[in-house]
Amino acid sequence: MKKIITTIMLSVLLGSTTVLAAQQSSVVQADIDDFQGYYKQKFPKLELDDFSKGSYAIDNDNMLQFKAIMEMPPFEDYLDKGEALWNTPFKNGKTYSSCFSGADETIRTQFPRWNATKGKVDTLEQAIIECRIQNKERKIKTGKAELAWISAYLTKIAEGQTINVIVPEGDAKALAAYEDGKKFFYAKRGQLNLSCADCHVDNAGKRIRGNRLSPALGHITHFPVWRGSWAKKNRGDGFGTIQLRYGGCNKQVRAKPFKRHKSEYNNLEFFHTIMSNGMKISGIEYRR
Amino acid sequence: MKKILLTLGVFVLSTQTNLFAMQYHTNTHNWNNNCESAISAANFENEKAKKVSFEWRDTRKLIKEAKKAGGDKCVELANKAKNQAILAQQQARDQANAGPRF
Repeated sequence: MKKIITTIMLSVLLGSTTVLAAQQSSVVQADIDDFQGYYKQKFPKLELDDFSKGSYAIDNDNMLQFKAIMEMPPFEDYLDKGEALWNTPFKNGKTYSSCFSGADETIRTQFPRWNATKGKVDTLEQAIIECRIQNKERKIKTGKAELAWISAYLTKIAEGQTINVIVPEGDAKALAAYEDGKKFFYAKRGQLNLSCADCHVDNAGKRIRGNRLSPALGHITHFPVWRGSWAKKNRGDGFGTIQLRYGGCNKQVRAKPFKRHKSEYNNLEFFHTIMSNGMKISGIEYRR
Repeated sequence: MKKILLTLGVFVLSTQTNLFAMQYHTNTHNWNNNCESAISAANFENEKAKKVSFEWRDTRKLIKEAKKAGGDKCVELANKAKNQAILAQQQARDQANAGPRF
């Protein structure tokens, strides 16, 4: 009898948890299906997770170079630094982990997420910065250096975790933030009159001077990224966050970049990540 | 007679110099006025572009360069900046309904 009651209780509990878990907005799910369907049609030989390799998945020569570099990655020291920073207690004895919920391996895929209380999108890097503020630690640079190393460490340990960012069904504010990010992605801007989508959707896979344009699908799976072009004198150690890249892209089309961790780029990151829902985090990778 | 001629000559010369100086002063004054008004017009338009989140990368740089340059160059650069800002506003209007094309 006891067993039957326990089983019934468990199934009721599980059932209620499923009901309570936020459902993806049907509007957003339709967008994801269209977006991913477009790439599947454009690159029929690629599987969904192949897109995490960006333009290297499309270009064999570049893929060979990428694999050769990844045998002895130039960024491992910084990942170690990120790990050390993550595990070093603050002056008050607490650690970064105290600001987050769940196992460390799951933190990366919890972000970006809709914060219904604050009515805004939270990003991982913003949460790390806020964690430092809460624990009265000094400010750190946004976009690169320590912040990117910590975030990179969390991305490394999240390798293989599936991206599943939710815009809760019926939450008008969350949907508005998503739509704002979507509009940003598709709107042409700057003196060159180019949108994110012009390069990374419409012309994905085509050449632009010596480079091949990467598909937007899967971008998010390997950020923060280590870029050769960011590892130059006076430019940094090579690591940078997705919002640093957004700023760079905006500058390239001659638009004034926005401040990191403000609504413009947070909403863009929200939309951009959602489009890669169902893909696995590929860890830290090299990019040109 | 000589004295009269000399006095007249000095008088004519000094009047001309005064007139020239006044003209020069007026021109310089206009230059500054034109530069300032061109810069404030560029700033005004660029603020509108910024407000709609479509400001272009180099507009503020052009305004800064205009301030530094002064004179005719100032007006030229400030007008260029103003045109950029107007185009950025137009871009914002054109992209109001931007969305996927697939």
